[in-house]
Amino acid sequence: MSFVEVAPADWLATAQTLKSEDFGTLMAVDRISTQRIELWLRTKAGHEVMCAVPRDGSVLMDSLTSVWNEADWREREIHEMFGVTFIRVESNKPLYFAPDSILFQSFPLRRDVLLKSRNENEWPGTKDPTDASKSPSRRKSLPVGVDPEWTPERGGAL
Amino acid sequence: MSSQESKPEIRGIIALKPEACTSCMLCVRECPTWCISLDSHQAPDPANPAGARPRLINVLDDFRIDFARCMSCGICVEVCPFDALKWEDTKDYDESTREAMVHHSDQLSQHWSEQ
Repeated sequence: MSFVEVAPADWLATAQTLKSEDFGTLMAVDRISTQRIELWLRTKAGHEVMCAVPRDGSVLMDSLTSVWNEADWREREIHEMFGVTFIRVESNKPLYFAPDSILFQSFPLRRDVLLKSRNENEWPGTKDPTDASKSPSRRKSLPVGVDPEWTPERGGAL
Repeated sequence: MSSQESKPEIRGIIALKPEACTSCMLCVRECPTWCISLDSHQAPDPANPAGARPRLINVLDDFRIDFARCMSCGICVEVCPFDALKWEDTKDYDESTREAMVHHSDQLSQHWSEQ
């Protein structure tokens, strides 16, 4: 088990050093506080490589498909869900969404995406168990992912 | 792969012990997928000694878990201060309709086994 953080320029080279190991997984995390999206590579043997790219898409990532073919699916997923763009064109091909999907208007797994269904449905947690007739202010007890300023007219991405 | 052969690390179902639930709403509010909801009302505490000042307690009317939305994260089980929720091994809870995926208190308590 080991962990290393690398710059985007070293992403592919680092992966090549792990080529002898089986591909484990490749995933992304949106770190909105630092305006970066982290790509996490993990091999079956447990070696982890992390690389942070700016959220604004100013850095194109090298594809790892030359090292492991399995990375293709994950890269397409990361492109679709987080908006990370890869130099290899095939890694940016749509994976889950139909071409006419409304989901294309956003990157659904980014943390600032508003979930329309969350804003349209009542949160079960608003209920006050000591007084069923009283509904506390929605604004006071909103969970994460719900924008108090949301209106159906303004809409959200999903 | 049939449910009987599923891997041991695959989680089963969440069971409820209604007597232990105090309707504190912690699980409802922590659930990331909003799949838990409950109804409750207040009633005088039957355990209150005679002559003491009346106390009200929450009485659970219905507890619902929508297993179509549940992602088996187990946060509700972790967060429950009264151990009213726990994991059970049952994996056979296929349902034929969307509505049936919402399990109510009576079903959830049937999943519970004392072990």
